[in-house]
Amino acid sequence: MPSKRHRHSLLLVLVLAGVRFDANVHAQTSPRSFVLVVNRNNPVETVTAAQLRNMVFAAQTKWASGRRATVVLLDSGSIERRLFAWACCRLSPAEFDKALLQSVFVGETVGGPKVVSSATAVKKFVFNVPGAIGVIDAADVDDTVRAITLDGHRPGDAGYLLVHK
Amino acid sequence: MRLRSVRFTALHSVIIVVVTTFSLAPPAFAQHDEEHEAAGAAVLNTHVFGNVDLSRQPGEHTSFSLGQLDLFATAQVSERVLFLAETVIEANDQNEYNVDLERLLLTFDINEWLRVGVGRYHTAIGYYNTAYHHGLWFQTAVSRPHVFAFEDDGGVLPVHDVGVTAEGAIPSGRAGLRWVAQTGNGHGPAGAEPVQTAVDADRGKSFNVALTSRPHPLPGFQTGVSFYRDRFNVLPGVSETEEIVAAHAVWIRSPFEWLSEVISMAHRDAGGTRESAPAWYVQGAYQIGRLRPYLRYESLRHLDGLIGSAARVSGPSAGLRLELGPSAAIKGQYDHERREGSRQSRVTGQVAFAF
Repeated sequence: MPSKRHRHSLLLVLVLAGVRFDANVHAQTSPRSFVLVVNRNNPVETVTAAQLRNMVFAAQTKWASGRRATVVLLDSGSIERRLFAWACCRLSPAEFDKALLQSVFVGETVGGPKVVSSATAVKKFVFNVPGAIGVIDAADVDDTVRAITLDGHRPGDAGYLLVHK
Repeated sequence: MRLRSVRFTALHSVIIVVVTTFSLAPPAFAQHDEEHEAAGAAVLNTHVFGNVDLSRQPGEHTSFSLGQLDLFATAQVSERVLFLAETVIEANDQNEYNVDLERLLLTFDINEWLRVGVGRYHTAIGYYNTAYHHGLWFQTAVSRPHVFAFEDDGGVLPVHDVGVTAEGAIPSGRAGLRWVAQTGNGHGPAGAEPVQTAVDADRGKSFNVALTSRPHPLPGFQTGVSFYRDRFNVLPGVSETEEIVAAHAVWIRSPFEWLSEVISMAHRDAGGTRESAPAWYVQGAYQIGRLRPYLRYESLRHLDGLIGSAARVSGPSAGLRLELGPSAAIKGQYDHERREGSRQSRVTGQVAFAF
């Protein structure tokens, strides 16, 4: 039978562990919003999921302005890519990658979307390529790029798909 | 028991070699070679697809077989010109290797409404033939539906052709309409190589037109129709007209897959005698984690041996696909077919990879 002092210590440890556990749960369940970003000179305000799908699979190669549309994504395994795959195509990441490779195989595209390794690289690419569109964490948006809406929805709107819960 | 143990050990060895090899492979979508692009040079993107099978059916020895080794390359030659080549190395029933140039296309990407390609291509008959080519890793099932079997596997459709292929979008809003038009050499005469890659044995050219819809509100859904016609010499001086009408509805949306197609093939000789045969299949699959069980039922009533060797075939197939990673999968499939009145079963295992 533990002494009273030991029982208090044990209780304190459990309470602290509980607080930490709660903090972790909060960190894991706190939704993170992601946004589509385009070049600051691109006048577009919103795109539809179908437009994203068509851009990825080369059924839409240009913006209304005539600029060549180029999708830039983070590499496989990233949250951004997973959300993008579901938002545009209702596909899991593995199925999305498979569909991309298949689009190369059937001759629709040559190399698929541009792939980079960080949000900074996405912003840099979008900044340098007038027709580029990418997806990054809303917290990473700065004045080098411009955030646009997806199907007219902004982060926080009901039905907004680029949210990691 | 010992023999069975040896077989499975061998299969495991193959799997281990394949998985080990491709787990070291670079990701399928690496960054473009920026230095080459900056220099204005075309970058050749290469992919390799392949499969190894193990099959068992009554009356034949259980056999390992090397499937197709598919060497695939594309390049953006210029902003509007795309190059695509697909070469397949495969063994035939006599254990001899064949090398086939399955596709060679130079495509001019004029705009969203018009892309024109010249070379050897897969005819846009139905859905399966253009969605799934020679890399078996892409398709859920072990095998293609009988009606879409390749010509050198006894297939009944002209799945390849040499000529001009054009396609593009149709301004149609949320209907997502697209068109395809193709004209080529068409069929060769009976007994000859079915795909006339270098010389057309007759004056007639084949043509094929297709219309598809990918409605924007339904991601992954596609429906379409196609019509193919060719007039060719079955024998010297004896011509026939072949007409193929196809319709399809497919829906591939995580986690399910649904494919359904119906094809009607008709031949008409110079005397006006017309013979037609239908074919159809439905296939459903559902992804559960890394597993994808699937079912297929197909039916093919072939014409009188004019093209290909398949006869009346129908029956169900059931299979399971296990994803080993992003670029390899193991599949197992059980087929129970009624072929010309007799029933037969076949079990096939397959390791398919892509990188």
